[in-house]
Amino acid sequence: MAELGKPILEIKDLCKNFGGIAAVDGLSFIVRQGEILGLLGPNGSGKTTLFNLITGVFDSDSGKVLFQEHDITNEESFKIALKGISRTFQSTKVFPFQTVLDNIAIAMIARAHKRHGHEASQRIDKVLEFTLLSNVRNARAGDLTHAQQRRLMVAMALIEDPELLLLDEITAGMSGEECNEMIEMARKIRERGITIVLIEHNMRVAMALSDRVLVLNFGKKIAEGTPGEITTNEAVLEAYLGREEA
Amino acid sequence: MGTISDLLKKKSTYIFLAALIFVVILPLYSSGYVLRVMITMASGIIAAMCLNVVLGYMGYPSLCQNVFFGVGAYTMALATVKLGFSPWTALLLSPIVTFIIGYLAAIPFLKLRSMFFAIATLAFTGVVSAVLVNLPKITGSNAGLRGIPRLVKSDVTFFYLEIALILVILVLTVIMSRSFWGKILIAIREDEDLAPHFGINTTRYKRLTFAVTSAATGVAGAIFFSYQTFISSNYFTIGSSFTALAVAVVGGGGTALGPIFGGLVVVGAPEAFRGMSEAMSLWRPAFVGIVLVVVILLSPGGIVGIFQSVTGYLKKRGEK
Repeated sequence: MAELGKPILEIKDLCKNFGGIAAVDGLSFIVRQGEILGLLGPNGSGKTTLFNLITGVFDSDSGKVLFQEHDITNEESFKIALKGISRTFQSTKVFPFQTVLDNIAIAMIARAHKRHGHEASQRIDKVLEFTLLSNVRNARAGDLTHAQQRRLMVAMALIEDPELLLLDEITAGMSGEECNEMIEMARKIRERGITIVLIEHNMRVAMALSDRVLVLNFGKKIAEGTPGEITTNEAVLEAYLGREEA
Repeated sequence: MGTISDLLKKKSTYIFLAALIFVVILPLYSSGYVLRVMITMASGIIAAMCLNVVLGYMGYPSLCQNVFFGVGAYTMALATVKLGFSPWTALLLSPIVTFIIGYLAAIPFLKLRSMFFAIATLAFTGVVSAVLVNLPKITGSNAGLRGIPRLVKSDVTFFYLEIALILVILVLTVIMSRSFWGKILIAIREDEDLAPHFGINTTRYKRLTFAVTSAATGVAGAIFFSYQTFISSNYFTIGSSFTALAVAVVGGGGTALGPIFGGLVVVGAPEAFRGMSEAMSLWRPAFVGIVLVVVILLSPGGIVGIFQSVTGYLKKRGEK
């Protein structure tokens, strides 16, 4: 494994309550430049809430989020995106009535003034090829297959070369073959120098991709380590994998 | 310029030019009454074209379009009658005042979505309407303000002024819809929560769009009441705010030309009832409602939607 860089994302004592229920409860961790960090945990353990706090969908109650040493706690979503954090969503989110190309165009638009038309179209060609969408570029996003829509979400998150990519269950609802394509894609994204945090329910995918794994339960960190360490961790086995398997 | 030579190749360009020439010649041979109907219709079309950007492109069902029509109109009336400005100076003031009011209204209202936004803007119309009635010293209340100076002398010129404004708004709408701004509005319409994750400042674009379209509506209001020379609070009721919405929806939301067709049907056609017997003219308001219901049921894309499906059908048949 390549040597990991300095911290790109720091979460410090982050808390979020929904009507008295702690979704994220004093969570702290660090993501280092160039790594793939896997987030695991049972349903309702606060994984997606964490993504929503990082990307400004919800305001946190207390705690801090630092991105490249800048405080981005409770900033507006669009500002966070402009700083270089992209994300995908658990349930597929694209602009369904627009074509694939228009979806990508919308994803580029906030920073489109920085480059010329030719450069932009080259960039689009590259990302479509990378996400295996070149042949459906003129199709309406809503008409694509489930896996294609999930890949379009990745394409839209990637088009502006983010520093940090948050992938929320990219393989949700995909077949084995499609999962493998996604794993391959995520590895290639990391090779391009993009740091990834991924939420994954599919154990095989999480273990195959992650350099390091963080396990959450009831909004708290219960374990952290390499995939190998995690599979033998007592607390994890109890909370997440189930006792009888221990 | 590739765009101009492209336009010259299109059949629709010539249809549009022919329609424009017809519209320019028409008032020269119209009676005073018909001209009056056309001027009323044109200002309804302008308000609907502006609403169409907010409703059709951005996806916000605003029910306060006639508030901005009214703000522009009262700016014209008060600046000329009370403050002694020339009508042309007042015409420059009206979009500025309406822009500011539109922007301020956008701040709370655009935090709401769909039905809640519609109800809030409808209530806003009610509030403004009540304010106009209850400030007789300023607005003249029901009795109104008289003696608003006319921008131009003849009614025909007034009509041309409105046609010019329609053309300007039409061109700006087409340019806007093809620019980054149009894409941003479409993104907001299709998934407002998703758009910010691509760095789009949705709040800024929503407020600016709302304020700019309000300003353009204000200009239409200023022109129309300078033509009328008289304004009163009776023009700005909750009921009248419904007209712009009906025009935009019947014409076809989210299409640049839609409001023009909508205006012809919703504002123009009911005038035919006036010429009939008194008993028939009572059916005028019902006509608008019926047309609206029928068009929505038959074609959610409005009149433009009907055209599109007919031409689409003919093209398919041609290919076979």
